[in-house]
Amino acid sequence: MTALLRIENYHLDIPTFDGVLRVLDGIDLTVERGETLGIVGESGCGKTVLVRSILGIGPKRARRTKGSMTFDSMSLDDLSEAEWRKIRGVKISMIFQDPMTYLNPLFTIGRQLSDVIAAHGRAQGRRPLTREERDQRCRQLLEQVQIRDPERVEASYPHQLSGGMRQRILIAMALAGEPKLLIADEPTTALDVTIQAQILDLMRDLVDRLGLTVIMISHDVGAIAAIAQRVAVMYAGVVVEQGPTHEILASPQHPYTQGLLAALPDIEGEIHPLEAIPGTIPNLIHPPSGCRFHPRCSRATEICKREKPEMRSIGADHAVACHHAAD
Amino acid sequence: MSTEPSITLPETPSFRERHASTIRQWRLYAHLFSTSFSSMLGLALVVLFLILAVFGPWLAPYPEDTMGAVKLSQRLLPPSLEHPFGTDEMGADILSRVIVGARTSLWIGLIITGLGAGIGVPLGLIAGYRGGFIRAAIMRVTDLFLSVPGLALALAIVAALGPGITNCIIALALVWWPGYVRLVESKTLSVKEELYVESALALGATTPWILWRHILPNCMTPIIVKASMDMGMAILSAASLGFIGLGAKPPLPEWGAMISVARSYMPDWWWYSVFPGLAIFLTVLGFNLLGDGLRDVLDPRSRSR
Amino acid sequence: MPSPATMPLTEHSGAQDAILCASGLSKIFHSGGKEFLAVDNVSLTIGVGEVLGIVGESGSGKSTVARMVMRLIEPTSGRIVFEGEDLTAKSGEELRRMRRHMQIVFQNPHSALDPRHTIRSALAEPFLIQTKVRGVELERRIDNLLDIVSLPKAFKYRYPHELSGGQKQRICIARAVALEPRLLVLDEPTSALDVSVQAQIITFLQELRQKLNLTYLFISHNLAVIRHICDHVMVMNQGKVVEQGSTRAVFASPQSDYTRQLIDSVPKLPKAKGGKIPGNVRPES
Repeated sequence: MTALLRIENYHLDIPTFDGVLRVLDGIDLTVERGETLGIVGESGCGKTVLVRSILGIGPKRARRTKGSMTFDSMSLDDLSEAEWRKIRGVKISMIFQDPMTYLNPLFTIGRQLSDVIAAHGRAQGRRPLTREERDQRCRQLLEQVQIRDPERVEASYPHQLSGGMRQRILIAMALAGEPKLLIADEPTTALDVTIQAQILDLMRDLVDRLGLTVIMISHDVGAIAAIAQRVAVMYAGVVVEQGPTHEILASPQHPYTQGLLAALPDIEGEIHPLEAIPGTIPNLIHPPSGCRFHPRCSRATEICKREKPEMRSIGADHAVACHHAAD
Repeated sequence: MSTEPSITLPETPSFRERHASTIRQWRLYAHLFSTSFSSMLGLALVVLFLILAVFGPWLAPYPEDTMGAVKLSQRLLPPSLEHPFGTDEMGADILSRVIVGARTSLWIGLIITGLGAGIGVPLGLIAGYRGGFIRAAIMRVTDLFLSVPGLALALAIVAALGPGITNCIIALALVWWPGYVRLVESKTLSVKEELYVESALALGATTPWILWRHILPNCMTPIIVKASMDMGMAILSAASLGFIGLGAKPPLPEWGAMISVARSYMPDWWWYSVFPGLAIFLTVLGFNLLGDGLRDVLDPRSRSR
Repeated sequence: MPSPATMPLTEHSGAQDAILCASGLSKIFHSGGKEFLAVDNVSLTIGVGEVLGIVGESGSGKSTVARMVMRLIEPTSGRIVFEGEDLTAKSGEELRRMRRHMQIVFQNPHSALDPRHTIRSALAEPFLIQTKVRGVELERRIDNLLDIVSLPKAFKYRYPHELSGGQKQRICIARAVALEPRLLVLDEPTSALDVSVQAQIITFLQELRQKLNLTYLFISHNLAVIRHICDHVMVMNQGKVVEQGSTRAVFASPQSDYTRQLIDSVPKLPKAKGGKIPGNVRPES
């Protein structure tokens, strides 16, 4: 069974006034059908640009210089707008961080949902749905995201609803076209922690019921750990480690992953001093030579400055891009 | 903090280093500006206008004609090599008068815009920041002024004060300031909610400090854009008043006044009104394009990256 | 169950005096004819040299309480006593002078610095407003501040947008400690920062407190951070205090359902060292 999404050796550059930003430097990722992949990284690591490129909504000036992306055996590179319209929302869908800014404040939820359903119907080349069919689908979608009073919600405007409710609606909209792949870009970051837990539960439930494949990106390791089976850790445009979530959390191999996890304060257990990773994220116009993490790494040696480390397998499905991983 | 007196002065890096950020920012602006043809055209026109305004008397081929000479033998000559713009009914060289008219127009534009902003900006800052009764009072008066068509109001004022270039300028400045109040008041309303203003308040800053140091600098962008566009409009308005005889009076070489006289010589002696008219047109166009260009460059939101 | 408002304040170790004591703070916001009770009868006491945390979700009123304590927002009712003096009774010049002794660090370092001013100008501001320090002495103080927050002198001539989030927050902290305050209110100081930067800033804040003898009022929605840095904690929900006590006690055995719900909602991770806590992670087969 081929992987649903395959990203191979993906390089992305963004030209700016000060120079060319080497935003993505050889990304290799695969997502199998039905699995949930988490991508963890901090600002500037490129995770947002990466997932937006999957949908073709990355920065306008961005140029793919090497590598490719394939979805369901179909190439995602250099597609026309017409071809993208058949994919966005219909095959691959996305939900974003701040639900308020992604909902039109002037229209009711019912109207917005209805518009989305109709648009996807057109994109799939189906005959236009009748009003009743659209309403029915609306209701179905809202129930799918565990909204218990769909009539009230359909008649409401976005500002009348809570943050958690809005995020559910965004998820409903994303699922309207029955996509195979759902990309979630920091879906819980803007939410309160109790609501966050509810949304993560909902997403887990949807994955089980609908057999969705999900890519979730976040800088919140905890949220990723709650729903992702596999996780990829990104730093400065490179995937530094990937593997099963519990394994990466229990025994991280890459110095950055280790540093990241050591910097997290605990909600339980002993209170230990937080270990901070020294230094700051690198300038992507002139990235560090060799391994991009070497200026901040306590284990860096000569080879780290010279050669970019390859992704090496160190266990079942667990791979690390580090010269000193096996140490 | 350190209690022992430090003997060494803090070392000061070179001018270049200290202002590296600013220099880089300006280079970025210049680059962005230069990518737009219309902006560069606007800049070229304005620069030409400024050169004429500053160096007018030395550039004019017949400087003695500028304040009205009487050379009746040369009256109303069509454009030729000796008189590229022709001559007027007194025999004066129109090219020279147009060139020197630039200086008059610049003067007028600067004073009107300067006075307008000078009155309007402080009022706008205070109205936006204080709120409450003061804001209501200022904004209602502003609304009053804005509800009367500008030129009509200027006409009324000039009629009351009497014709002449000074009164024309005063009248137009009084018409101009409300626009700045509106602009600055709305920008102030949003800037005062910014976290850095709250931060200054937490440090114990007084209102004048906040207005001068935080609000005004962040309002400068729209003010500059408006001011550059206003220059063109102010010159046009002054010319309009001159045209109907309520502004500059002959023999002052003001473009509007020149067209006013040229009216009666149309269409046979067309050059008399065409060239001053062209001067007004190009000057106003230049300032408008420049203002547009500045706005595109300075306001990051209107820029499509 | 006694209402939280009448719950006795936890005893602080008797030797410490309270640097700040607020009682009965309430705030009603008026908007469009409607009234909204943001803070309902909140009282708190902060002992000298300790870190009091206020934790809650959005809308709990915790930021409003922080701003009321600083009198950036006027309390509708209540009394604030700072170092023995009634802060609520002060106004005008007196209030401005009191501000030297208590400062605030905001959540969003990206908007807490005026984009039109250089870092040097931002650091000079506290001195220019509150003192007569000028010239060479001013430059020295600015350099000193940069040392305290471990940033290079070259940053003086940069603009905020050229700095990273963590660096900007350090500058904000430098501005806050410039006048040698005794109380520092921190309103979600790390919420807008990356995890590793957060760790840097938290560690730095802990060191700074020792070095400069500061007292902190720390606001956050992040329970793990609160647990890490605070001696005492107050849990707020919808304007009311739901629970308060020493951090250890509250986290180990929360009394209130809400607190328990908050703690349970935080996704838990198996730790690399020892791994004693079973995670919430479901390893899918």
